[in-house]
Amino acid sequence: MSGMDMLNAAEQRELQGRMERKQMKDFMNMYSNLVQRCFNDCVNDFTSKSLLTKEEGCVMRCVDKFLKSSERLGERFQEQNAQMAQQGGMMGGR
Amino acid sequence: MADPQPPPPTGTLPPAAGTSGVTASAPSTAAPRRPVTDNPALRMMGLPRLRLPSRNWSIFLALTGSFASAVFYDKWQTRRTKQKWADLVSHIAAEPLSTKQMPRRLTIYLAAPPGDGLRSAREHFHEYIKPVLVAGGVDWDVVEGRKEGDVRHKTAERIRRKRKRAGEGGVVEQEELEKLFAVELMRERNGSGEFEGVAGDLVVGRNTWKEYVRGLHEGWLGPVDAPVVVEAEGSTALEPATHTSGNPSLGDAAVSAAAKAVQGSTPDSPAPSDSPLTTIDEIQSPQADPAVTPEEPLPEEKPKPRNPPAYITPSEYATATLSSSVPEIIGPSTAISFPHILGFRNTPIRMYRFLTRRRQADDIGRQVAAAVLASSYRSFDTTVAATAAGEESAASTNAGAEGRSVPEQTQTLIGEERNWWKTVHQPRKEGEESVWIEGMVVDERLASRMKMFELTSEDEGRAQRIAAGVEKVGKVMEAEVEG
Repeated sequence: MSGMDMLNAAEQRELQGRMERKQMKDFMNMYSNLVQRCFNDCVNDFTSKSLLTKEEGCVMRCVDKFLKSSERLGERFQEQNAQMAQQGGMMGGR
Repeated sequence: MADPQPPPPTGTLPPAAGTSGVTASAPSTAAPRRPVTDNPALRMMGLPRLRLPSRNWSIFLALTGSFASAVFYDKWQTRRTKQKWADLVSHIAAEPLSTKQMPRRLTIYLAAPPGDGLRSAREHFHEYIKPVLVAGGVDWDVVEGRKEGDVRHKTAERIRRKRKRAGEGGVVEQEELEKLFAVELMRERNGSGEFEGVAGDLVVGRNTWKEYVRGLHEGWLGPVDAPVVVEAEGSTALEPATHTSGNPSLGDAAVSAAAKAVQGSTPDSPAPSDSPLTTIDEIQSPQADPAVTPEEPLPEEKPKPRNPPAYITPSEYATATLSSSVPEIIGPSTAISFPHILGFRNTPIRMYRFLTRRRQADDIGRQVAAAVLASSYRSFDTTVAATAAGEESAASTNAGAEGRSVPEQTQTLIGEERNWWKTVHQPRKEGEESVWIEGMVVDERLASRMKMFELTSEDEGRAQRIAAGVEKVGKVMEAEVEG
């Protein structure tokens, strides 16, 4: 982030605010993906209004796995990103 | 011919009308004709006459039928065998893994067999080794070698990288360290550690095994940093390990080539060896790896070697110091057989092997399952050297006669050498290595640390029960255990 020092305080606050809103948006996106996927895969029986026991269990597991896999993927992505940044820096430096 | 017109109803009926369904044992009206069918059952069903095949047809059907059934039987049995070994390890894949933990990772060493390409080795891996790995839920890393010496170099590089990580070698600044080990550092920061437990090495093929052992020795006994080459631009720090002057230990060819070479080679950089490898006898130290020092003024005549020369030659093993960060167990390893044979005149052998692939699947499945289960590993010990068929080479550390007791590592998969394509024994060109035809030199300190995976007898019994269908393997529906 070499351009950070070129912004004054007001612009930095603006940038911060924007990044926070973006993160919130990403979070909501993930939430809606999660809901859609788990509902589609787990809830199939509409003969009754309430969730069946097995659907309840399925939904809980679905949320669990989704969050865990997203955490794992995030970690791997972070590592690869760091590696690419290092390599890019090396290639750009010389 | 039966009379063509139907007789008038009041007229005299011929004694036997030639209508269907009646045995045409006709009297004089019909010419003697072969009956439609003799079998009353077939006759009732209306089927025409069936007949046995003729002699030629019988031969043809017998040959194709037997070949097809042999192939089918073999394919069926290989499928069942692979399934058996996969089922044996399937319980490991069902274990939960926390998000901060990496799965177990084996390292596969795969090299192109002599005379062929890497694709055949890859297919061998995909067919026999990968199913068991996938069923056991282990991750893997492949070290591939296209030409001779690739696996050696890559293995040594990996070990040197580990040593650098542990802090050996010349001082590196923080930035360089970051660049080199970006992934590992990030993982440590996140707290997601490597798998705590034994990893493992699966080495496919005798040629790969030789390169692997050579690479191990080079990595653990050689210097961490590249040896300094005179007049080279990018000279890294001098190695910390001590090296005696190696000039007398280089092979005769190297000495003669050194006389030609302009620069005085340092003790560590092997001089280019021009003379071809004439014999394979290992009385002397094996030939120094051919290398081209970069300041040769004739680049078009001497091709650049594919990999940098080995940092240490086998003759220097005894005097080299072992790295301080060498682990107690050098990743338990398994040498997996890779039967590979070329040649038109070997077609009967290849056909036989094609029809008995179930045995191969069984052996390889057993070895990979032992590696995946990792329940027991034993040390390599000493065995009796195999008699080298009509050659002067002895596959042992001590050059010598048959019956000498040698480290077991030198004898693993030695039968495969008979199948190697004959270009393997040709003298090597400039820049090519000759690890495959040199004898295997094993240092005692490393050999005692090498271990081999083994399948316990309970697992063997369990596998047999699975094959017989006695033991059930499958998903166990239990309450979820939060992990």
